[in-house]
Amino acid sequence: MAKVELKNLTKKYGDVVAVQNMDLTIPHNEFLVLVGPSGCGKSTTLRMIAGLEEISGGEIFIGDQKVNEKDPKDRNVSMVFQNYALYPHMTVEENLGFSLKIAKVNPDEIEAKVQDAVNILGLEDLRKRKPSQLSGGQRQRVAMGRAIVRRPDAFLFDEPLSNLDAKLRTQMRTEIKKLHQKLKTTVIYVTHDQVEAMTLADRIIIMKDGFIEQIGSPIDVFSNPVNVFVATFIGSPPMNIIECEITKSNDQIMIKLDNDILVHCPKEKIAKLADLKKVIVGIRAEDIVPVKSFSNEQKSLWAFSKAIDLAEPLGTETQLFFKLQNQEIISRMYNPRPVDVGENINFQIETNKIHFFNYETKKAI
Amino acid sequence: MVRKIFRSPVMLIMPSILAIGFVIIIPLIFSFYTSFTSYKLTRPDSLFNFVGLRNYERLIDNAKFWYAFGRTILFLAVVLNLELLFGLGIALLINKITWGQRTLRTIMMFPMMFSPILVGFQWKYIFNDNIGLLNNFLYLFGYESAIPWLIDKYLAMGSIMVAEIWANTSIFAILLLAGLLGIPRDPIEAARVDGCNSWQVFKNITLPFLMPFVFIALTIRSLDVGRAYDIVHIMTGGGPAMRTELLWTMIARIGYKDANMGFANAMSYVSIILSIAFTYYFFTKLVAARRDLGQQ
Amino acid sequence: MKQIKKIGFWFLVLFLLILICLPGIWIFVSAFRPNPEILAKPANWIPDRWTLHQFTQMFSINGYVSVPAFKYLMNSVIISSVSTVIAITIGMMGGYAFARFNFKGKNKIFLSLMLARAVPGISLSLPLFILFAKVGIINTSFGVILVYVAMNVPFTIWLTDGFFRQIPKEMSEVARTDGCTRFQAFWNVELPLAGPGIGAAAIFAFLLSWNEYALASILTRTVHSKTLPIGMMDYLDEFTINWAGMCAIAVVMIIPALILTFIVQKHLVSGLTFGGVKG
Repeated sequence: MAKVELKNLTKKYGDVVAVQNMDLTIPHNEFLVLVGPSGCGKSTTLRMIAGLEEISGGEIFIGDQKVNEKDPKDRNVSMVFQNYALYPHMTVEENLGFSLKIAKVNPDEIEAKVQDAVNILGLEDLRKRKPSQLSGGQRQRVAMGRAIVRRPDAFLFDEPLSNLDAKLRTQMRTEIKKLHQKLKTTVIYVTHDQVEAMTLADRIIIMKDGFIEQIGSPIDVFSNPVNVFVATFIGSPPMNIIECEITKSNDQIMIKLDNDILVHCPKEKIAKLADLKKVIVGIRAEDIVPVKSFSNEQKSLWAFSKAIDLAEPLGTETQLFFKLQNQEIISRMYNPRPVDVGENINFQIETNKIHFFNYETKKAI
Repeated sequence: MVRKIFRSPVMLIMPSILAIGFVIIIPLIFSFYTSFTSYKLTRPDSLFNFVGLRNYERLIDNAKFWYAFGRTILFLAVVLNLELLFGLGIALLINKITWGQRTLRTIMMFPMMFSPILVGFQWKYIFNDNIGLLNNFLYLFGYESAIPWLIDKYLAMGSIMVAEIWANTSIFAILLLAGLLGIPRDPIEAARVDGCNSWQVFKNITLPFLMPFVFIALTIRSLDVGRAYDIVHIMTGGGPAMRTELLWTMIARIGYKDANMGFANAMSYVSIILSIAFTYYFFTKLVAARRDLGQQ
Repeated sequence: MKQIKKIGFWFLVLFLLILICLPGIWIFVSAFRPNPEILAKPANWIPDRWTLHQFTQMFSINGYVSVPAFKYLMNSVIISSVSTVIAITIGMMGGYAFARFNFKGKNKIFLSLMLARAVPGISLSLPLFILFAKVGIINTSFGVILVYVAMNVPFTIWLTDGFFRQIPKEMSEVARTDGCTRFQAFWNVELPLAGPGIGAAAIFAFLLSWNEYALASILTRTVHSKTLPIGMMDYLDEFTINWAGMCAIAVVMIIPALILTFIVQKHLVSGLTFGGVKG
């Protein structure tokens, strides 16, 4: 049980930088999720912590020990791999007990710990089976069991659910969450799936091109994305992004949402937007609300009507697609009714839910 | 016609079975029969002179045969084990090389191209006490008395083994290298995280993954153990004083030189059963090793 | 420390290379040296004089033939090629059957075929010698070809079975739903896809015939049908060996084998490792 600390961690493959000067402290018992598109350096980071990848620069601490030069076996971490990496020639219980056997733990103790893991994960009936006789979900469970038996300082998960089908994935997600609550260990979890990241994490790190874009709690990164990348990466469907011109008329700052839609700049942003020519407006789909008619006090609201290109009913909601500034916009309609393509719908947006990003730097304003 | 053949597996296999039946099975049945006669090449009518188990009884009583038999088993045990060991070593070595690996692999296959008779000759040349490469080389370091590699009763067997190992280690090396290259990376990494040092990773993960390849190599190799005849035949001809006599050279000597076909055939059967037993054993091991890894 | 390890490692690799290559190179060099130089004592390491003497004699370029190597070479080429073509045709059909059909006793038949291959040549030569003499095909190319076909079929089945297995079954199923017969699907789809592998199997069969000694030494008696490995023994008298001549004929034998193995190497390994096991 220990905290994990990365100081100035860097990984280079020749001239290509995979991870750049990463600083991070993961307190004991935190569930940390590294998320980002493929090639962002998240797996590399994890593998450096495990000791499977050599470090080009910087330091890694597990507990209070610097582990830079240590072999994976001496780091007391355990890892769950994307394709399980079960040992095909060993039965489930042999797989579970292998690390203990290597550590020369006495057989009774191994048996006890294996039994413990078997109980936790419900593998009782599968103990004598070989990996080839297990289903995907069962293999996943064994892979997790193998990590559990060692009671490591930290669990490392490398996209553990990406080989499972959607339904199993949801189920295993819950199991992992429960497991963490039961075991109270530091977990570092890598995924490219933002839903997994949101649901599992105490803290999320969003990475891109070897850099950390943002660190924060799931709610935090969702509601206060620091830049356009995070805004579009977190949340489903992705946040609507519109590049708008800023115009000034009659001392008023106006934002041009579409050719014929001009809206007032929210008061609290006027100071920041006044000198800009263009701005990126980000609005989540659920914040573009379809309404029957506009309410009277529209001062705090942006409102417009627009013809629908496409309506996708999902049951609890219907997603409406239309265009602003030639960019596809999605809106969520929570009280679904049949909608025809081409129908004009009235939308309104609460101004305090709107995100503004600098057109050049893509950073939040 | 062709269409019909391709619809039925029996028709497809039939030509193979016919060819093997005619060239291998029928002769074997025939020789099985002659092993119960006193057939001598020089006296054709002796083909029908039925002597029951006498040839086999003579075989059991024949000390020279048992020496040859024991020597053959010993020879195979030593040679196969060393080939496996060296092959594994070479495979591990080459697996570590990233630059020029392909070239090295090709060079490694070099000895496989050599006909056994050529291997025998080549090593006969190298081991020649008078003009051989080895003695000439030792001469440079002051060993002026020529070592009689193929004439000394103890050295001869060792020299033959060297030739045999040189010729066949590459089969093991090449197949084990293929095995090494095919091992998925994840289980090895998992084992390293699980606390294994390099040796433990090798013992617990790499080796089990390699086992099918070990047995593929042994199966293929066991098909051809009889070809050691060529090497011995040319290097020493079974000498000196029968110190390198293997089952196969003994069969040739008794069958062709002494023209005692019945007796030689009885001996042949022992050698055939030996070869088949080796092949069968390794093949079942191969199947078991694959099942162990959950393949097919 | 790391440096020492690295140097040791490359030293080992170098040693290995020498061990593998040197015997062959020595033969090659000796083939172009005059006999007296080979017999020199102390050894003459660097050749003073190169000569094609052995080769010109062998191929009777100056009219005098010591060993009719050209005839042996032709015999070898004919016997190896013909037996390879037949063995591949037959064996490929068998391999296809094992890869694509399920039938009773499949694994047993497969194993039996392999075991038939395990019979040592010298043990088989005794009855073959008698039978061939009786049928009248002893000392003929036909007899040797027949034997080599049977010897090569099991191994060809092992290899081609593996190659056909690597081609998805769906390939042929699509072709058959497109209107092909099973044979047309085989001919137009599976055979071209397995082509390189079958080529490898063919070269392997060729090499086995090319290099075989035990059976040929019994079944061939004269220049009429002797192959190169048997012809090689012409240089070997009871008491003396024409070393240079033997090295020269060895070179003639090894060069085609070298070239062919070069072509085949990649597919050979994959064929051997995937073929032939059905649990």
